Amino acid sequence: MTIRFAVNGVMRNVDDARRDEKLIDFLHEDLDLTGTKLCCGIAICHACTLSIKKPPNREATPILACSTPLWMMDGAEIMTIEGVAQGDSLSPIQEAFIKEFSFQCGYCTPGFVMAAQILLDRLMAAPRGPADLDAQIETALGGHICRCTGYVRYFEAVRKTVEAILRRNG
Amino acid sequence: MRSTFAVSVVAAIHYGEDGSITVRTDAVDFGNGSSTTLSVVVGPILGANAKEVVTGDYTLFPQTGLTPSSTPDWDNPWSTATGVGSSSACLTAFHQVHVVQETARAYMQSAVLPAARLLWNRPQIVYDDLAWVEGRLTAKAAGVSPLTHDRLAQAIYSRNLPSGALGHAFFQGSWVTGRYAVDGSPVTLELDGLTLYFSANGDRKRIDRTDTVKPLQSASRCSRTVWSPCANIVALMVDKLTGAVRIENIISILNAGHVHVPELVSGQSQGGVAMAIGYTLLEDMPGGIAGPASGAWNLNRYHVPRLADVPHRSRYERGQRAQELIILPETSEDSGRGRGIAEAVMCSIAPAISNALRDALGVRYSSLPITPAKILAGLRQ
Repeated sequence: MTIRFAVNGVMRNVDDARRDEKLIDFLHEDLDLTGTKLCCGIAICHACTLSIKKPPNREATPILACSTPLWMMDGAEIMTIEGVAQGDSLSPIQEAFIKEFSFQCGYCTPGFVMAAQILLDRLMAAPRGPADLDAQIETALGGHICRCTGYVRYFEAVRKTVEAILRRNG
Repeated sequence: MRSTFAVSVVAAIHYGEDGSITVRTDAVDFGNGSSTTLSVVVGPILGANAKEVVTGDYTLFPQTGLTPSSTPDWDNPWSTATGVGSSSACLTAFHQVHVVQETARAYMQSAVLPAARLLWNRPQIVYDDLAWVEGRLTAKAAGVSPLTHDRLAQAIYSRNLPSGALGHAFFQGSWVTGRYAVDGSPVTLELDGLTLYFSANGDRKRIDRTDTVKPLQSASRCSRTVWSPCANIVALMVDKLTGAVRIENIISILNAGHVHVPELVSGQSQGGVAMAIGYTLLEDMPGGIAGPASGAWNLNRYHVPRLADVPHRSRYERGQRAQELIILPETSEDSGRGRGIAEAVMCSIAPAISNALRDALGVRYSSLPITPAKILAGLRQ
């Protein structure tokens, strides 16, 4: 038996004997993708947030790599922080985090980028307008922990990015 | 009694052959923005921000030739006082910025000014005549053509003028001041040590300090002589059934002196607000063996504030939760200097929350953290 899943567009095969290993260890040790950060290790702080698409769900949703075993990855496509930028060109949300001075030490940043990207993709697929935008951002990012910045600059970067895209899309 | 806030700081400026500026500092940036600040503060003096800031450079102090002592002989040019130079978040804006800017001024007078005089063929031009306009050096004198960094660097390197400078400064209520002979004439600097670098053979030359003005002796008894006061106004909601408290809005009024980088000051302020909400309302842990030593504590039991616990807009709009920061204009005493705020905004939030709870419930809560259990116990009294 083999567990098969895609990481940033590349198919990976893992022997089923490793089914109970944690996804974050596989990313770090096997793929050298160290951008996903381990913090609490018990699915509280959201630092290790990734984006996953797994049938029958077609929408990307967040998962916490510190607490997800490899067997759950079978048939899934995941995106890590390393898959967000296109070469040297950062995504709008990454650009906004830099422009707004959203992070200081940066440890929680990959998790915030992934969660914000998922929110952005969802809003773009079914834009509901900015009426309840604050609440939607709070739902998407509300569980993430940052100990440096006090969240205001993350929040404003996401809000401005969403508003700019909604404006552009008319 | 020795001052706990006798601070000694060191920094170097290097001017590259392409006219780019590098700052080297012993400060360590741990996310508080020291690198950004130390890059932009040389801009007004050297006509461009530093292209690179090298932090945590522990090799700088040994290059100064200074010997620290708890009983310094200020008449000896190689003597300085023992001081701390930690990398705390409050030390950049006032202390580290000072030594970087003063070293930049020393470099202007020992290399850029002589190079400009030669290029303009105006030996009478003095430092105060110089001005940077759009990244080019000009002077008040008529008929001088603006000089690019390229051109200045070329002149500096071809004539073996100093390619960099290393400054050391000591603060205890006031900065130690000395006179240094650079480019043939003495200049007064708020530094207690100056070394010039030369590119030719990696040479460096230590400059004698004379006419030293000692630090304020009376300040040796002060723990702090520079600080950033901050007042906070807090609005909150209490659920009397559950004892849950939610911070709705905060106005912080801060004196940060001169603000070098507004984004970093408001960022530190917002971080301070979140930390204060945490230790006032959420973060709870017993002492002793049941506390951190038990090894069983993690973020599931030790609750730090999350995004939803903090007002996360920076401008108030009706119906939204916001924290607004009002930065007071700098005073004449600040004279262009920053104060270094670290988490100064945090300090008065806990008492403001306690006061707001007293307004709301008529109960004075004076033990932190003010947990829902304590709120309910207070209401039952």
